[in-house]
Amino acid sequence: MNPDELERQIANAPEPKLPAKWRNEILDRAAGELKTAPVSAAPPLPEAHDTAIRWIWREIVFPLRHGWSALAAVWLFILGVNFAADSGDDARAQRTASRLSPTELERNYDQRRLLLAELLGDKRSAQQSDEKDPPPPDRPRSEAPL
Amino acid sequence: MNRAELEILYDEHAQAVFAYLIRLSRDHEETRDLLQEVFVKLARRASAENKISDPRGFLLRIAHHTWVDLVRRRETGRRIDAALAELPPEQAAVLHLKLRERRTFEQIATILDIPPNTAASRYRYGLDKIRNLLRPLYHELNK
Repeated sequence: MNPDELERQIANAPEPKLPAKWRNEILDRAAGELKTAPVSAAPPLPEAHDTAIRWIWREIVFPLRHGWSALAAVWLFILGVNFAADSGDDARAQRTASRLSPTELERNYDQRRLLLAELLGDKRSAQQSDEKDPPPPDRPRSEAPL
Repeated sequence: MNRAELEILYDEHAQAVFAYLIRLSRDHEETRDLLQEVFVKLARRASAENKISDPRGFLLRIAHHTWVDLVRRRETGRRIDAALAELPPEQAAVLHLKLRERRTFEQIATILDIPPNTAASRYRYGLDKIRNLLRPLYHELNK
């Protein structure tokens, strides 16, 4: 008997038959484990065929879902507070502006311009610009020289 | 995976897994337990595995590991029995009552008619001896 023949004979040797009566017992027991399969496994991501997205979902998002939710809640809270503060400031500025007369507004503007020039160290140019731009004559625009 | 899918896998591959396991075990009842263990493990892992590309290979792999685990457990049990047999009878008695019968040292003292401290020291000496005898096995299992 050569080696090939031996190998063939071993491969073709009759196998012991699996008893048919085991089938239901084994399947019942195994199916019981299916029902009690761990529910903590990450739920499938719908329509996510991209492996990177699946990986991020499975490895990063799902295990730390409570942390991510808390972080999102904190961000939303900060965003809300920020919006509330902004709208408050705008309303206050609008109210202040509406109370000022045109002359006061102009004076206010000049003061700020001078302050800005001082802060930038360009006092002279600020003065020059004042000189270059004399106050407009106190007469209607229709009477202005052409 | 649901029961129907499990049945399909059983009908297609259980015969091959059975033939493999009985070749290793040579014991009908043991093979039945092993085969059941294989399908239980498959059911447990089915939810974790996205897709099993080679079900028969997967099942044979589980079968092999299950068999190796059984052999290892059997060998461990055999060596523990051998180590217990080497203990002096008075230490073996205390170990048996403490570990198998879950008795307190007070109860062991009453049963053996010895002081509780003697029961405790026999237990400690006996356990130390067993530990020394099983140290090679411990290293072997943790390789």
